[in-house]
Amino acid sequence: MNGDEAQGSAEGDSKGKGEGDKNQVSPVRSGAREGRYSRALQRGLAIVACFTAERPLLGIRELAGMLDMSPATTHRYVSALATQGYLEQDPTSSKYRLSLGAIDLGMAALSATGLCMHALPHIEELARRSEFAVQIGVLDGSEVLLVAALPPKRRDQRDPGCDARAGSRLPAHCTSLGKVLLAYLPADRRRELIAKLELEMLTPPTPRTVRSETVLQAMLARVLEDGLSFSDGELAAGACAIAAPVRDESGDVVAAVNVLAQHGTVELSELARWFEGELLVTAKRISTRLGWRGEGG
Amino acid sequence: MSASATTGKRAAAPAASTAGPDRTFRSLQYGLGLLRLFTAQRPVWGIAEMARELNVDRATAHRYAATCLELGYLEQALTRDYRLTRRCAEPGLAVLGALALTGAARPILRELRRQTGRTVGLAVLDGDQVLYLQRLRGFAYGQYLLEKGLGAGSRLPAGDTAAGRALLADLDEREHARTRRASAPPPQLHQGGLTIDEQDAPARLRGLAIVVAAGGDESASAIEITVPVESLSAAELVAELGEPLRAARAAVVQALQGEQSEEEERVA
Repeated sequence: MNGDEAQGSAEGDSKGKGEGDKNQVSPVRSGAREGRYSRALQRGLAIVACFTAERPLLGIRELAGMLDMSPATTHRYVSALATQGYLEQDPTSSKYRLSLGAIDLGMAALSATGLCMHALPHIEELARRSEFAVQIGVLDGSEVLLVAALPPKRRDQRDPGCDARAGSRLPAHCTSLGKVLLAYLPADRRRELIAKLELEMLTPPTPRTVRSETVLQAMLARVLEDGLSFSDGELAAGACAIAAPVRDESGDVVAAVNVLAQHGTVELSELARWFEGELLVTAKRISTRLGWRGEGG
Repeated sequence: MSASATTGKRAAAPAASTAGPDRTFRSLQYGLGLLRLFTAQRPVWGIAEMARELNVDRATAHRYAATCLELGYLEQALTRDYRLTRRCAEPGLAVLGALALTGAARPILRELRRQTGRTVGLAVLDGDQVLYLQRLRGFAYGQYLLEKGLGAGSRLPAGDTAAGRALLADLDEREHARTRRASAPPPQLHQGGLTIDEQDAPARLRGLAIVVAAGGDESASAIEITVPVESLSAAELVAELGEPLRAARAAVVQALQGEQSEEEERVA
């Protein structure tokens, strides 16, 4: 273990994904002895990763044991990390813990880049595989605000005249996204919001649009049971959709994602049968990206 | 912290023949500094930009980025630019998870959001910034558009937020010796422990905050509610959300005391 900059593990793959130029840049400052990866950085990150909420305090020997490094080397790394503001020493036990500076190493990964950016790779995948339109939205008052909307790949799904796009608002009570978002609200907020909609007074967009509070409440209760919502010709004739909840770090539902079919080409039951599983997986992946840690979290 | 060593912008690294400790230090400084470049405002970086910002050559920047990629801390977008992965948040989550305050406040903040539909946060002062230990986005009308992707772990200038102003005012009261930072104008309203703040940029928002008194050696924190400026006037904000905010503070204080006495029992 002499030299912190000894070669990393995956050296051989020099063709890699990049063009040659990146690895061929004259190694004046990066050093001819150095491999493709920085061992010092590997070790530094490994040390930081040893600390968890359940195991916040660690001594040099514990760390050395966990990482299979000598106590002297471990100490050298730990002091460098402490000087740079990522670790701090507990005065009573002399052990180390992460300091607030460690937050800056990448908490931005969770939320700082926003829902849309986190969701995009996952809904793109869903849109690619399903070939139907995919949307993700949040509740904004009594409406759904679309955060991202991907157009369908299938020819028979396209609709140049009416494309919902990011920033569009949709009614909550007659869309699959809206039903998920309403269903997971706390009961009193939900009642209040639905009362404010005055469903009986609204002009229904289609004959199938729900017009009674009681019926809507029953639909939403069903959504909670299923963990999924459906809409079938309620906003536009011939359009149907299924939607699933997206949770954030707190565990609350903060968004909904759907798969949408238009023009009466597909029955709701078919859409559900084909994509229910993938939709749930997509929703779960986005939730994880937002910091959700599963049912127990 | 030694000041010269921690500013990520030193001149380019000297030749690599230098012995172990210095090189370790420098590799950590640049390698971890590379991860720190990624922020809410700039979530995506290319090699050339990273190299320029860190003041290293492209090969060095590429090597650190490749290391982070290999270890799963960075991922590459289709454009071959880099962005953080979920894994990067683990150290930050560990820091927040280990704080007694975060655990105590978590269910209370969730309840506050459910009750009000507004964006709620818990923040501490860190230098001249506020650091959000938690920030939960509201679902009432207009709340989503206020967000610039701020979440737990994000920072804002203290003087720009209700929580920051509340904490600065509190600091002022508690430590007469310390002078108030010149950059923070006096709060527009500071009555009954509530601080109001209004912002025109980046979004038009109005915040209301209350300080949770520091117990023992813990630093003070503040609970904050943020609303779109057109949704509630300052007076309405206090009338409608002042009470829920006070109740949330009381609940957090109680939860913290509960945790403390549990700890004492365990020790005894």
